Amino acid sequence: MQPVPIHSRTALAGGASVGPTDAALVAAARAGDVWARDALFSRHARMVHGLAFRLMGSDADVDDLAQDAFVEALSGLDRLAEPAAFSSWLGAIVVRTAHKRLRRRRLFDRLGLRRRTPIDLDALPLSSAPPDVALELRRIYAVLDQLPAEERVALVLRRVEGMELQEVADQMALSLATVKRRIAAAEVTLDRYGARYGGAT
Amino acid sequence: MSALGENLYPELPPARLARNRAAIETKLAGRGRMWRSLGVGALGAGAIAAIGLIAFVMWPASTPEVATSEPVWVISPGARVTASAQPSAVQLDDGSRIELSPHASIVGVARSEAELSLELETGEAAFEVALDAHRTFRVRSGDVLVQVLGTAFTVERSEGRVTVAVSRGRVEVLRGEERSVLGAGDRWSAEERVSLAPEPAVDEGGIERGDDVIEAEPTTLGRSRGVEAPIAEPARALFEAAQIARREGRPDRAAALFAELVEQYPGDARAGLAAFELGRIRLDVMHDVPGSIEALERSLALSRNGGFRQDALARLVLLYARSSETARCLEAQSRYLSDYPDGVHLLEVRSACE
Repeated sequence: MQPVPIHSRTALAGGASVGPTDAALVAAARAGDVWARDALFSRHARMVHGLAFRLMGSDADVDDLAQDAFVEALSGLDRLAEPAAFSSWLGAIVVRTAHKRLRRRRLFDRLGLRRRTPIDLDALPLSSAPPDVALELRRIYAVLDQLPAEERVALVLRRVEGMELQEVADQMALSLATVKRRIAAAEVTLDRYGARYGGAT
Repeated sequence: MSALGENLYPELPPARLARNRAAIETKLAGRGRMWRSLGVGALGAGAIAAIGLIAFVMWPASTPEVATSEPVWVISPGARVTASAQPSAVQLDDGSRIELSPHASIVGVARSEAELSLELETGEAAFEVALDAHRTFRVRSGDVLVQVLGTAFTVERSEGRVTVAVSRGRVEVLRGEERSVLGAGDRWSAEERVSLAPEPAVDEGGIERGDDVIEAEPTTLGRSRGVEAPIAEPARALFEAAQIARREGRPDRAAALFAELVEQYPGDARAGLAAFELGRIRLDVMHDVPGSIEALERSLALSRNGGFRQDALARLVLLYARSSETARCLEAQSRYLSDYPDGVHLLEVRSACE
């Protein structure tokens, strides 16, 4: 197999960029270079697993979700219009995959087809998290399972991921107005429940 | 990400990432096979929708785990695994997996925080190596040393020949002074030499030598072989491997690869940049000022017009100043001011040698 060039001469000479860009890796992966897929995975695995973990609220489904997101991304590289935007495209796939699973999980809960496993709030934040951050995270995650999937995802992207509203809208493929409504509805539930949990609003 | 998200993260040990990476390839391969076997191209849109529904129902909910019935082998120097008359497999304690052909034998050579090393004594072995940014996985076979840069490869030692075939990722094959980097699908083969290559420097970390032999569990060996392919641009491969090592948090390894590129391929277009990167690592990570100066001087000598030259020269001025080498500081300062009268480091450089 002849390796696909992934460095442009310009990038090397310029010295500003270190390592192959996502765009170069995407081009190589499209050409069937497994090494490029490895590199894309290595580069984005932490982002994908972390985002999946925060959206789902537990570690249980993270591996499966991350795998499915990567599979969808790597098998659909030809649909990626801007290879340089691979990271954000992959993030949107994670968000969409998580949203589908949360919606399905909520449906199963309603039909009594799934045994509910509440989020383990004490085990959730890293032990190194400052107390106020840990408290705020527990306050948010205490309420997540009560929210409709769309509100839940929007709230996590906004409050936990710290995304701008427009970014949330882009990641969820919703209009800005819809995202604002979803987040506002989630915040109402959060405020009502947060008082019971003892956290500040 | 906000401060909240930074405090919410799953545990991601290398073995878990390696399992997920392998599962992704399995799913991708399964997806390809499924679509091919269903003859999608010949079907209409309605049929495709129906297939989509079937695929949704049949798609496995999760990736099958590696069989846990396989014995777990903790590599230690002298420990040996010998396959029975059937193909066999063992798992390593770091999440890697080895498949052995009948009667194949491997023995542990070294184990430290930086390295897991073993020798293929006879037969054929396929290695599925768990990615570990901080540990190099090496396999010796006769006078050939295979060093893993990626994930999956096969080594065969029979009838006086050693053959290495890579199915995924990258490996380095070292034999005396020879060095080759193999990518996925590449294959390397050579006759064994009588004399052995020098042993790589290994910190055995005080682990006691043993001679325990464990029997591997039978399994099936079913892998495809890559096609013979030449090694393309070893300098480029070295550069890429160095960048990967640095991204994976192995600056020592990255520095060694950049240094090798500079020494072996000084005429390559990347040599100047490699020397510059080497200088940066030596200074920023290793805090080796003389080593950094040497590398930066080399980068300037190797590249007359690289985009990194201005940075390299400015760093040199500051390093000479830090080393109290006033004459060299002034000389480098003069070069900088002459070459970059409006340079971005002008203020620092002007006052550095005072």
